[in-house]
Amino acid sequence: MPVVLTSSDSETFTVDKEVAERSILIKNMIEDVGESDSPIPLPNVSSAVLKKVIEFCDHHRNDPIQVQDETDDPRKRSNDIEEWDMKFMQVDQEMLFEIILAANYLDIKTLLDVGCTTVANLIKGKTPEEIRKLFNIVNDFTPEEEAQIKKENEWAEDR
Amino acid sequence: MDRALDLPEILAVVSHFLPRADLLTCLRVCKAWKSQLEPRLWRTFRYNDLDARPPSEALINQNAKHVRVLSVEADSSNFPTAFFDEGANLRDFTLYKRRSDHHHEDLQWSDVLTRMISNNPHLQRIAFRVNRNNSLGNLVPTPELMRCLGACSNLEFLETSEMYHGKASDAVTELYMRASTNGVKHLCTIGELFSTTFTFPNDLVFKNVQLLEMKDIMGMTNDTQLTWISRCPNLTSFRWSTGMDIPVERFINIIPSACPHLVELHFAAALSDSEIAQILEPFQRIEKLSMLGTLFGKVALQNLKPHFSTLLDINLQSSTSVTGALVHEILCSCPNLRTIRADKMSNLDMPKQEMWICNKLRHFDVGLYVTDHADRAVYKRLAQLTELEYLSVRSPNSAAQIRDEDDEDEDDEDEDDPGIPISVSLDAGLGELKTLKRLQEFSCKKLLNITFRTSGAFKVVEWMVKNWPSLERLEAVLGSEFNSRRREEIAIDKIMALLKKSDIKYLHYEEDEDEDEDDDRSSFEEYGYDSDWINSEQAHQMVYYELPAAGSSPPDYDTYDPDCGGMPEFDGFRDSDEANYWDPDLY
Repeated sequence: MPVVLTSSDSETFTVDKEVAERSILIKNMIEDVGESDSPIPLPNVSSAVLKKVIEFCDHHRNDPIQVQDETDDPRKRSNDIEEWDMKFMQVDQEMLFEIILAANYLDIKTLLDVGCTTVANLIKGKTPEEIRKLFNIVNDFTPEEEAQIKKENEWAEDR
Repeated sequence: MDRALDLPEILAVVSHFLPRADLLTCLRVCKAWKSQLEPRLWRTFRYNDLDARPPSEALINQNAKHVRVLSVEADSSNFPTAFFDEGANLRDFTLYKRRSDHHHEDLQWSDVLTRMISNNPHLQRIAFRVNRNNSLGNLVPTPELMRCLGACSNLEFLETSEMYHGKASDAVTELYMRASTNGVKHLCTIGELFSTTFTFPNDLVFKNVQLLEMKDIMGMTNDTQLTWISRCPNLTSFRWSTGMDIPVERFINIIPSACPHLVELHFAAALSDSEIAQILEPFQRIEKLSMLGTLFGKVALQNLKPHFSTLLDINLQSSTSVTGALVHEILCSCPNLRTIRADKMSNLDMPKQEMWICNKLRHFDVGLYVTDHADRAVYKRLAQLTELEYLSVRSPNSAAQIRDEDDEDEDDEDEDDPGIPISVSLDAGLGELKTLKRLQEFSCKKLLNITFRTSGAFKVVEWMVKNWPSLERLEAVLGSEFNSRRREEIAIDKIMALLKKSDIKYLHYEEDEDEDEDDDRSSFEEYGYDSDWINSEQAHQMVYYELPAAGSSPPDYDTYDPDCGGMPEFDGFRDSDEANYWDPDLY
């Protein structure tokens, strides 16, 4: 039984139910409304992003659903990104964040994790200034404040 | 700023994938990040008044409310009070108590803890441990402390060590017992000194205790300890370590019927082969079995046979009558086995035509020996265990022997000698293990050091990094013997740099198990008990936690919610299937 999804720019996508239900939001909607032919509107997701999201869900259609967050430690998780996922996430930064927002909105945990891991990998090893530059963040600390934070958290460095 | 990172929930997810060093950097990016990420930095906190660079007191006071998992090693007088004042919000507390010479200091600790526990009603896990360098650090079980433990309504895990009940009245001991009769699921009591006159009142039932650990209890007879076990009707697992004789007859008469859910038996005691067989006989189902320092042998194995299909975990280390052939038979017969630990097995114990069927094995810890350069054949067998996450080819108990072998003194005086330890080198066939894609930890104790002499150990490590993508830890000994040899030092530096670059932790194997202060393995791990027995259930409750680095921090009860939106439900002590090697006792 296929499900029809409509993106914010009114493009429709027909996908298998099991693929669509990788999104907990959509799964709940289907459960609430019952079986119906009418398309599900996703006003927060553009067609370009929705296309990517569907591609991801289709690839992972047979994965076991994560009931609770699994107990992997962060490092292992970031090392553990599958090759396919890594390739899938090779997009420009704007698209990366669009995908993350969509995953958050649609409640697709695995996609959110893969996206956020990718962002974390971008951050790793960089200085505060490099991170700001990377994400267009305005520095609202004075140099003194920044130095102070570094100093007061020195205790945490060797732990 | 990118819209996505403006959302706290997304920044929180990102931060979960960041190592601590990068998290610290992120604090300095902007004010919004700092305020969102700082609580996370403090979620787990280890306080030691001997730390060279402690956080300032002001900083501690400011952030104490964010701490969920706290461990403390300090004197009672300089313990940071912010953690037990109102507003504190601890879930998990571990005290490493130091020795004190003064009874009044011990009493002071009891007062401090009483106050702390009553101000932290959400505590789920409390452990009073004794710093092993100072083994006389008795905690005084005052009635007040025992009562407030009993009133700690969310408590699920209680571990106490070396509390000196001896002088206390039996009434206080009863209060201690009653503290575990409500919600406590995991009760662990180590080296307690009870009064010899304590008897269990009839109504004292530990109705929720699923896991009971009794280690080297003093004062209380084994018969009384047996009564203790029998008062846990929902027990699934126990660990019993005792220097006194186990009353086997009484055990089999009482325990299987009193504890119908019991599927995990862990003994560290003087038990003969036939006694173990007797113990195993009445049980319908056994999933995990440890027999440390026992005389487990052929007779016991016979009675274990009915359980081969359900057996998940077996530990036969330090049991001198366990032969390699016996270990091999288990590997050939237990399709669901996840973990095996034993001291030794050689290629002679594994005839080619007898296949291992334990292809779900995750944890293999058996000292491997070879004769006639059969290393490759043994590696080929191991290579089929593709689910392996932990592989040790050298058991701790046999590791001491290597010193002699190390001296290239391979005279076989012992006629049972199974050969020489397997060679950890590519020439010998280590490369066969390229199939172990899930391997997270490899331990070879001192064996890699031997490789230094023949081919380059660097090559071996390089191969590991390349072929074991999941590798996180390597336990070995590098360097100690080569301090004066410049060339090898360079190789060691190279190896260290490679490991660091690859984010693999090097665990230096200490032969004599130096009781390092930071190495707070649980009491039972010293015994070589399966280390995942606490891990799994702990790990199951935790959504995210910090890096499982030795000497780093306690588990982190983190969730995506930066405000710690509550703990996931603790649902008992499940088997260790999903547990990774993370070890809460290494913090």
